[in-house]
Amino acid sequence: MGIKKWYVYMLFAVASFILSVIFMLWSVYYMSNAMVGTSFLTALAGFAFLASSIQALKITAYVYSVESGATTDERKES
Amino acid sequence: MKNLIILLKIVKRLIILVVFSTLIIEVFASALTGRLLNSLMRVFSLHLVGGDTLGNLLMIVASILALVTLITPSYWLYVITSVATFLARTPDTIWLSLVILGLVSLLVIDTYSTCVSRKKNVKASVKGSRVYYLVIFTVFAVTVVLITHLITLYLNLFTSFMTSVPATSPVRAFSLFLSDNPIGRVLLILVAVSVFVKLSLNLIDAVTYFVIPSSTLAKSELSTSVKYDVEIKYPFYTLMSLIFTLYMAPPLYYLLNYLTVRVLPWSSSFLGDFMRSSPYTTYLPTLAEILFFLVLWGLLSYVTRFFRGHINNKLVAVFVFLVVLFLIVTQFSSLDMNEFLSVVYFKYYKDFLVVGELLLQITGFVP
Repeated sequence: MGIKKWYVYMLFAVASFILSVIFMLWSVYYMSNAMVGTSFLTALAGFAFLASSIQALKITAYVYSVESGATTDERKES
Repeated sequence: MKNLIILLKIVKRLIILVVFSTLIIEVFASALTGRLLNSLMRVFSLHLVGGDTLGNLLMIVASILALVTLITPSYWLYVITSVATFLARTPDTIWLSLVILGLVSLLVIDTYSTCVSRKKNVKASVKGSRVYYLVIFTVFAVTVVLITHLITLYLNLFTSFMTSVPATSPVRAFSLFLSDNPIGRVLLILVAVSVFVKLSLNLIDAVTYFVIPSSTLAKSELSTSVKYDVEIKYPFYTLMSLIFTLYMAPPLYYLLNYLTVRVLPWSSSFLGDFMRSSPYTTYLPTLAEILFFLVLWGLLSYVTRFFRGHINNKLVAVFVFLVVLFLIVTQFSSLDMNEFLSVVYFKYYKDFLVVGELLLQITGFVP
């Protein structure tokens, strides 16, 4: 199997990023309908999804560098 | 080495000069015509003539700050100057990018010059080719500029809709505060920036690992990423503080309310002109009441934390003291204890419900 582990984390990061964009657009829609409280709540949810997406991206980067670490270590020794 | 540091200092000042050129030219022009002294006198004497808006005053302060920034290339002053300018007039997008790029370059030069001057003290360094550093710097700069533009776009979208809230709606005062009042705007921007700073730091960290994958650093980061700053709570702490609040909050609320009613006429005469001139006059009592409840709960949470969530000598002593005080007061005054207590508790819960409903109305959860 050619699937690498960091693809899974990347998928999670992309999914939560899309969710965060959807939530932020919803919050603007609620604001245009003068539902300020609901809008702020939705914006909060959007930011939470954005934060989780970037945290997942960070973990992806760690896993990616651990997986590709063998080649760089060899390069360092040679 | 010394030449390099001097060169870096000159480069720093050149960057500041380029970014704040219009402001600095304005300072010199107004100083030559004598307008500066006049404006300064007005700022310091706090005598605001009708023609002076807050924006004009902020521009004067910002241009003087720009001159000080040029003399002492401190990035804190740089940030304060640019924020003051942004508050004074709506930021131009090109200038916004210029300011951010200038700040990024200033920080990079600062870090580099400290590294150069204290090379012996540097304990950890990442080895890599120069091209990598250039790539990371470009990604960093582009990310920061892009994120800032996205924030401004999003906030502008928000505030443009906020002003379209119908005038009869109770949400109007809240949205006016956030869109028109400088304090509200600063609060909104501060919240957005503090959220986005952490996010962009994490993003840049991730991108750095993708550009220079270092397995040992990643492994150590993954193994130490569990944070130990979990707050330990005593068992039944929440229940205990809830019961404590249910008993203690109403008398305290009654006492504080009594005192405020006594103090309020004095404070309203003091703040009278301000309160009459602001468009939020109808909402001020509600806001004051909400603030009142927040202060009360903060006080109570402090008290419960002081007692550490379990019954000890201090708590018993305070409780006995309160009971004795209450008995003495009821004995020497002609108060009916049952009636008095029912009034106290009824007032607290009635006000609590009223304020809760008003809060929901103001924030727009309830029509």
